Amino acid sequence: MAFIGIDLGTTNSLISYFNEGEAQLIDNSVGKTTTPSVVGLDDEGCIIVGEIAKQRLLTHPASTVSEFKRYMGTNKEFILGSNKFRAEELSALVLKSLLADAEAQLGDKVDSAVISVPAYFSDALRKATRDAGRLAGIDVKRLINEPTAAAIAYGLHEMEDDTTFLVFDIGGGTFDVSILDYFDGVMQVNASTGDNRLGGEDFVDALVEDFITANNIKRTRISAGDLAVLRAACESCKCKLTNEKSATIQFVLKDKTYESTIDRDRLETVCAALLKRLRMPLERALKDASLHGDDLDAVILVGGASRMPVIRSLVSKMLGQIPRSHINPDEIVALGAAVQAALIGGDRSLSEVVLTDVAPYTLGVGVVNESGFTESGELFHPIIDRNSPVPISRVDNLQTAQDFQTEIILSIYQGEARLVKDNIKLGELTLNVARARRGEETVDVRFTYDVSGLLEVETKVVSTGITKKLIIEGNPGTLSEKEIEERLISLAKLKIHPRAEAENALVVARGEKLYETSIGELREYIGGLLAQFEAIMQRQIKEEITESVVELTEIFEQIEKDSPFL
Amino acid sequence: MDYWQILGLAPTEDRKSVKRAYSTLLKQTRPDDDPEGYQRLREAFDFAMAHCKHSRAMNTDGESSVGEAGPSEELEPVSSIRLVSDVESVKEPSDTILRQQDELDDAYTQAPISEEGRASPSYDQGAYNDALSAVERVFQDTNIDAAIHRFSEEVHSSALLSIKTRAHFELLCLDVLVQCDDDDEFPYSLVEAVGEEFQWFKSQHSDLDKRNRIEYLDLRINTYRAYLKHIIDAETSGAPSGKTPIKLLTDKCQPNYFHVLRFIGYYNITIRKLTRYFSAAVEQGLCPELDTPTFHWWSKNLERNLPSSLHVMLAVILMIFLCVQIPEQMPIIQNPYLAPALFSVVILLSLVFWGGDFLLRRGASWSFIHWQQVRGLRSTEMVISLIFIVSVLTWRQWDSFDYAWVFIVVALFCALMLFGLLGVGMTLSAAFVYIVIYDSMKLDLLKPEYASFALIAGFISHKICMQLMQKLPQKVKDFMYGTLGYLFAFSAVVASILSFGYLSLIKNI
Repeated sequence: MAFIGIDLGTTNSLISYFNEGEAQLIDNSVGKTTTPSVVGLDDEGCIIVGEIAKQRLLTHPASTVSEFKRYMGTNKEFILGSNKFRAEELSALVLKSLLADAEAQLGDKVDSAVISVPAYFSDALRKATRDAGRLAGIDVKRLINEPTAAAIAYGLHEMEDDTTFLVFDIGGGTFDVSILDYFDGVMQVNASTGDNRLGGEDFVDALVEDFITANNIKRTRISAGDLAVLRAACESCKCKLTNEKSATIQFVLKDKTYESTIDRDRLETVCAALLKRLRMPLERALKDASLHGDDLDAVILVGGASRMPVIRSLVSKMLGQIPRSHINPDEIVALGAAVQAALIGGDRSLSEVVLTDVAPYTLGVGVVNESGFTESGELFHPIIDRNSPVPISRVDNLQTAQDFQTEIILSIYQGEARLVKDNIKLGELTLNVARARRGEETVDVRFTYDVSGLLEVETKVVSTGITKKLIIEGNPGTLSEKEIEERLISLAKLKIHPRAEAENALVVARGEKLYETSIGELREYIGGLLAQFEAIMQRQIKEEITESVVELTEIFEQIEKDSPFL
Repeated sequence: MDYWQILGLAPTEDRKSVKRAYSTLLKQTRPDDDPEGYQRLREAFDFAMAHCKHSRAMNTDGESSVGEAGPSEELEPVSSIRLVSDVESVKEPSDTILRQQDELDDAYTQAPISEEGRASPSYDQGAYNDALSAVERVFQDTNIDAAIHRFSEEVHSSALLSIKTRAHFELLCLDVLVQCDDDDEFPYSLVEAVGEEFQWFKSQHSDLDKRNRIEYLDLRINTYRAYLKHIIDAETSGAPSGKTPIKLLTDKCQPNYFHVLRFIGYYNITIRKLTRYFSAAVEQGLCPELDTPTFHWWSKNLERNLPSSLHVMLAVILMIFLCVQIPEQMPIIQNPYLAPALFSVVILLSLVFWGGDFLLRRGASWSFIHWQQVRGLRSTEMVISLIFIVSVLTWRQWDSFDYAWVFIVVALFCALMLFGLLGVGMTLSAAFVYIVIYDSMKLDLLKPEYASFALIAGFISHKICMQLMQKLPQKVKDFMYGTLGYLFAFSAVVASILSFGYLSLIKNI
């Protein structure tokens, strides 16, 4: 059985497997390694995932969704046709499509995998990711932190022994910083921080906002479809700025053409607020690992957004050294996840490698202090400090705060603030204790943090010996066991677009997108091509179809290249 | 098992061999297969690595002439910062409390523990100079608004992009701001802006020295905010709506009791510092002879208990004063007023500490004695009751009824401390009843010990009240402790003054 690793990203997802001492990426149905994390409905009501759905994002914005990873662990529901989906289910659909690709290539059923998550993902988000895996019908063996995955893929090939390095991972929607030590085959994470809502997509949003204000466009005049087109134009502008000094955004709204040229300096100004947010996690990671900028032997950039020159120059200025990034920054996380899968599976070629990780957040409970002041709310009492090595299990003894209280409400929090009201509440337990004076009844609270970064809380009332385990219920972000079962059934009922026809559908979707975004003669030309292709499809001659798919792909690629705003 | 035994090493300072031992063992104790074994091993490894780091730092300290940037080098630029801050604060702080604080600061920086706990950036002359010149530009004059503007400019300038320079900059800013002691010119809004940028008041700081400084600034700001809140509450309660008292939100405002709040702030900081220093010393194993389980338990709770403990220690010293036979040649100590007066001071300080904390957190409101606070005073309460009883029993050497009022003052403080205003009322009335009974019955029971019975009666009746009130809703409790307490206390004070006047009248005749 193959060791499978999956990078479930905000913008793109990848799947890889470990084979003969090396991780390899798996191509999807349209022959690419990256599958956009986009899910949509086609005209017949079938679910489509990936590249085709991404193309249809412009033409059918109402029946396509993207960036749902940002809503993992929330109750937000996306409407596709007559169905409502949670982010977990949409992720499950992406996973299913990836798994189908893997099964097609490996010729074997895949039933377990390692999925990567941003290091700064909280308990609820991790649980949601695991649930997504379950909904896709696989056993999620482990959740690996993205920078850690990158580091292990990188470190095994590129690193000299005994080095300390920093992984700066900025993807489509999340940002992580990890500091690692690598010695004698031990890959040890020392500190990990990040920002769950900062990534390449935010830079695009900033460009869109800037374009709208700079051209004085009234927001009410822009429909969802227009906005998607503008977003695509801004995104391609952002990508172009990676290699060029300046790029132009062109946008047609109600037959009026707006245009603005963005150079790198302008991009830096537009994104100043976002760039500022990159600093804090970096500083904290260094502080937590008790290192200074000089102690780092290398800085590694990971994630699609790390290609942006603005980010590169900022990182080198902040850390005083030029970052490295010669492995493709999009692919490295998926490769690392496959290595982790092989490590867990006990692959012999990795017997000399050990990976250790840390908990990204401080976990603790709410308490009152000795004098019982509650004016500013309960105080946060940490039990597991952030950046403690996982797996870890810590016990703390807590006492009753009031005379004759018979109940203790133990609330569990995650975060770094002094007061619990500024931290995130994970759950609550109610314990019964004997009637006694304040401080006489005590409770042992044990926090266990497993290797996937999932928390378990166990309490024991010392006087009675009664133990209780925390099952987080009523937490809006997580699905209950029963809900998962229900959703598994409803997901199974969905019609999924046949994989074999993926290429044809992609060509049509691409053509339609081009048709909508172009004008004049070009538009007519594309319309003609599409009509021709439909006629060929009708005839159902296999060779003819394959031939024209190749032909059309070439033509569309040429048009995309020439078009200034796509 | 000893950490070194887990690693299978003899205590060493060689990082390489520690790492090698760890990696070999780790491959047998993989975190996936044996979580507990891994946790033990990792703790041992972290300990050993910290040991290596620590001893290496100690060694380089020994040969400081060559080593990394010693404190001697760093001292010079800091003193030039002092000059800048002198511009900021026009007059030198004159309070003795402040001076004590400086001494405490010095004690901190000299202590070996702070060396390790310090996360100050590794010294880099270039980065330091950049930071220094940026700080000098920010604090060039006393105009606070301009300084805030300059600060936000500097902090986003390209020179401060480097993490190292920025770390220096942060510490230097902290230095300057901590040294602004003058109340008239204290740059509250600047402190808030800088604190916001560096997340001073929101996150917890592992660095001992830095934490103390930040806590000091936080307390000052809180004191100030508490005052502002009070003023605004007072303004808005009667003022027509829509008129916002924005003009009050300037740095120049001075309340008449602001100095009291400030004193509380300083005092609390000092006590907290002592606490931290002591608990850190114990943690570092600087006192091996104290290595007993009892002491460990105590030191674990030290940070919580020490403020009370400090006050208790003071009180115990005073108790000794009372109990020992005082030699003839020291007439001052023989003064019967002395001990009760000192008692009152200790109790007052204790009150300032606990009450002040509460006051600062809650916003300045003088009706701070209420239910929750009274409940929080348990440990102090026990000890002070003890002192109180001892003082009554040793009182016989005064041997004169004239000093009864001194005793009553002590009792009053105790009662205020222990039970809030309701308690004051009860104690006073108990004393009053005792005196009146004595007087009216003309019994020869003029023994001070009996006064203690009256007070204990007051104490018990208060306890009973507490138990009865347990079931009442919070609002009622607050009302009883607040409003009723005031009334009770007021009437009792009037009654006792009258009775004492009456008694002294009889005596004089």
